[in-house]
Amino acid sequence: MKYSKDWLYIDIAIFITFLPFIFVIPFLMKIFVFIGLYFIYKKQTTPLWIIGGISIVFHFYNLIELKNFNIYLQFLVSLLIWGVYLQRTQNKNNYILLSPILFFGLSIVFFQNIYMLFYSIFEVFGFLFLIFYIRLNNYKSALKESGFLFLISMPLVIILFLFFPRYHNKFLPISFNQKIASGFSKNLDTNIKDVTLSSLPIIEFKLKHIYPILYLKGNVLYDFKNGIWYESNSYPKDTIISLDKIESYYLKQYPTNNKFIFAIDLPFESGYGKLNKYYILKSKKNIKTTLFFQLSSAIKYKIAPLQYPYLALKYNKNYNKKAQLLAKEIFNLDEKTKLKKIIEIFKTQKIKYTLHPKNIDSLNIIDSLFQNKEGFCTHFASAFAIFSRMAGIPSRIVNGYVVSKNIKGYYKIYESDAHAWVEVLVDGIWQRIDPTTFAISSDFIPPTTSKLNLYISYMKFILEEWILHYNASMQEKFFNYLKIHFFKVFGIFILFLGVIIFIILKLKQNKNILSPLYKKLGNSPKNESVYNFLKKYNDKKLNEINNLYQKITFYKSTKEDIKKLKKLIKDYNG
Amino acid sequence: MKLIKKFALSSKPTKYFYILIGAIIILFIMAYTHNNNIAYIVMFFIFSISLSSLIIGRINILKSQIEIKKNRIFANQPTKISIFVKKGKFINFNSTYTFPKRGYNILTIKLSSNYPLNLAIFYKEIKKEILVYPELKGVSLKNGFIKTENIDFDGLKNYNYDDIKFIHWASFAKGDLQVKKFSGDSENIQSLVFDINKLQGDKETKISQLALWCYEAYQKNLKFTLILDKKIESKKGFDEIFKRLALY
Repeated sequence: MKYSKDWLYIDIAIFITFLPFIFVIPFLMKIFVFIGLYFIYKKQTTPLWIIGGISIVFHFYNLIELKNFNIYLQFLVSLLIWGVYLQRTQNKNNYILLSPILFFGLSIVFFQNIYMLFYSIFEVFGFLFLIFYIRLNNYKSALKESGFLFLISMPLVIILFLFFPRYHNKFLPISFNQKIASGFSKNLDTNIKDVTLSSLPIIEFKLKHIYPILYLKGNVLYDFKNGIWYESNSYPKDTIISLDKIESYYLKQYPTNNKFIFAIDLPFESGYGKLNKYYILKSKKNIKTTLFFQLSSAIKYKIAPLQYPYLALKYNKNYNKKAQLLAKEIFNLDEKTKLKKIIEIFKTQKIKYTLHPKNIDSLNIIDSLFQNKEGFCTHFASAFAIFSRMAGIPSRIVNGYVVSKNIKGYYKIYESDAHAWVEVLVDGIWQRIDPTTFAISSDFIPPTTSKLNLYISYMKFILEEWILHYNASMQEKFFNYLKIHFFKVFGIFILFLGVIIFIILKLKQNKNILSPLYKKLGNSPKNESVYNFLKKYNDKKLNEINNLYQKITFYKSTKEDIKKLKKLIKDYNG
Repeated sequence: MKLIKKFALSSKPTKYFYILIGAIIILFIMAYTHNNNIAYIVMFFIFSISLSSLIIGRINILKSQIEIKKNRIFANQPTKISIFVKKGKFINFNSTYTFPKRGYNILTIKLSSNYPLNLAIFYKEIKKEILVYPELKGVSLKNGFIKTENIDFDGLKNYNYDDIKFIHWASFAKGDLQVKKFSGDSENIQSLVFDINKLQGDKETKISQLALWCYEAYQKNLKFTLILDKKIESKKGFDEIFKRLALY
């Protein structure tokens, strides 16, 4: 059996457009895709009916699951593949001609990421090349023609993209089979003695200014029971007293399968989710796809509870007996001095930071920490919070993420950046205390990714922010920028245009094998044949070149002769 | 306005043009409803590629050049004219033309090209003055002018694969194969004279008749003299003779 060539272009088109789906279709469909090729080759339809049908039924027999959008999409794509495979065994028809367009349409709706962006541009170029290849039947000139057309349409695409009026700020929260980071839990368990955190990304954002350290609030916890800090709704609401250093930014949050959105401390306005009474940003549903939205946070702020939180002074008097004695000494001082004293007590401890502490008694957390001198942020925070409660300062635990490494204000937070700290109520205002920073024995360097990785992420984020999530407000931002820096933007665009024109001219240039010779002679034939032009010089070497050139152009062109001619021209000197 | 009219008239969109417009509309709906920037970018790419391909196609046809090789064209006779494309891509044209009149005619070549993406077909008309020779019509030399019956018997000669009708059967019966020889035989004709004034009919029929005779004479390598208003010898050349005939 022979492969018929008129299928070639359709097969290439289907292959290119189908490729992104190979990563998301169920396992059995993947097998069907590969096995099916054999039956298409053999032109057997019945096995395709059976195998495809079985794999689809086996995967999607549970019809309730189809309510899940991801699974519904998988089902749709699987059906389409089955259809295409069955049609492929038949004669050429309109259904098979339509299938690349369907695949392409589906893929640009369902894959909303930077890879798909580049891939779709590649697909556009690929189709253009294919059209020229069909028309010219020569891949070199087809590449030249399609490249030329692609390049000259590029500036218009950029102009249209930036200036085409956008009306809303929606984003499409669709993504297939994403890895879900699950390290964050709404409670804080101090019983855990061994922590391994994955390096899955959680949040990305880019700020206007650079800050040495940023805290991202996850949850505020008040109640401590059996070594676990719980969230509670029975405490007084927080109110904003003042906001300072306000940043408006785009936040990219990866799926975590819970409702928490980790905004920079303190978020006060958000395009997505809702702020609860402790200024914690929460989504309505569990986050299963990547979010990208605009919000505003204050880096410096003052918040206070509506009433004095007496419950935030509660602690179990049966435990931490030694610490209670220490706290009694400072109980009667004023709040500020008390806080200073507590910090001093923690500073003198010189505890070793380790993610695998050996002896931790979560109920006697302060005593065991001070005695064994081993622990990590959870233990430090828990100990500090309880200690301050003993000394009469209301306290609460905040868990979330902390980050310091950045590139020009771009931050990327991984699961391994999880952290816990304490907020204490001094002079009626909640103050952030991070005991980990001062209680440890030496400067602790948290594990972070390499600079190169961060740079790649930074580039990706900028592209996502400016291309994938370009919307009405981004356009407004761009126009405002344009008003101020018009000549800069214009200059960059002209430079870009120049580069494109340069490449086009290079592409269009006719390469003449004799042009280096003309350069050496300082003259080229005008209104006369090459033969006569070279003959006029009456030079032995030139005559040799002339003869060889005439042979190549008018009789027979061999690679050896061309090589010889090039060498002769190279060796020619006056 | 005139320019737009000219622009629109000389191009015709193909079905792919309408398909692309449909694709752009669908992509716009996809892009607009969810602010899908990938769909926006694909839409802009399709739009600007098709726009620039239309411009390129137009430039291609405007800059196209052709070269017409000199042909012998006779009136009322479909002739294939050799036309070469000097500049331009995917240029199509009709190469067979028929001209009803002799003399200088205007040849209108309609160039069309669907370069680069077959979104539209562009047209351009090239007009060139071309000399058309008279129609070859009338009585052939064989049947009209040189009639064997009218020529006197001029003795016998040895058979040399001649026509059967010239065989001298009387000598054949004697056992000697000989053929009749006539004084009007082609090898003996010194000079033919085609005089327009001695022909009857209107001017065009006369010219056509003369053209046919001259044509046949050249084919048979006969020498002749053409008399129009002046005498012209056949050695002046085919094209010179026919030019005179065409412009008479």
